Amino acid sequence: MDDDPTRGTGPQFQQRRVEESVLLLSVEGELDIGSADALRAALDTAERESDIVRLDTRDVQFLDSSALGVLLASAQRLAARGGRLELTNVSPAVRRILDMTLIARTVHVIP
Amino acid sequence: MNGGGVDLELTVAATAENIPLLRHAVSGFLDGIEVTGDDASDVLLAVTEACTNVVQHAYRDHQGESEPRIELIADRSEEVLSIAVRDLGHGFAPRVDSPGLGLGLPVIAALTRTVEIRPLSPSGTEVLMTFALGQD
Repeated sequence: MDDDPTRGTGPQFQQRRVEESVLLLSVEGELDIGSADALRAALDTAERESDIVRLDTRDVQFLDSSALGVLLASAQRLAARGGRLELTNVSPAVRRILDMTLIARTVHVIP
Repeated sequence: MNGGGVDLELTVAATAENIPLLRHAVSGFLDGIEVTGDDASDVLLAVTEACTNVVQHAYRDHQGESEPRIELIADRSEEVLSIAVRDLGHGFAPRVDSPGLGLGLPVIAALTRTVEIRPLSPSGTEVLMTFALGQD
């Protein structure tokens, strides 16, 4: 089991400023209850640096309601200070749960 | 379960770290029975939500003799896939300090053909989900 590449490998995050007011946070991996803390920490860091956080989910292979809760909390914190959380490059699997839960109304999805 | 199909049975400790492990095991099972695409994505999301409910709710304040664990049993017969997720804890008691959005069961209901939640004796809960395959 030690050679199983799926064990012990959490999501990877990279952030860079793409506009004066926009911080791009790129995520690679799977987002669920097992990686919710890592997602929360990455968003916390991004929120400290920008009022607009753009989350690139091109390389997110999975996202469940636990991760969605983390996104929603971040979106609410940013909105409370006039900012916003944007999702870009949304994969079909991510889009499905966004639509199912109507949270696409709370976060800004960039086509 | 009802037998006659291809089965998968797994038992793991009920921890958040084991949720991806279960999902990847089910993903491999689905590959083996040629369930792919949206069908597979729906199954994996529903299984993840059911297992997450076990981790978050079933063993809260657990003091029993049994080790907190998740049992998963999958069975494919004809065009129906059945997956049961079981715990030996105290089920889905509401909690005001829930760390989630409370979306797990609604998401499961939206993704499955049928879902049944039933108590196990002497303790525990089974979430039995069925999926209609190849209907899209």
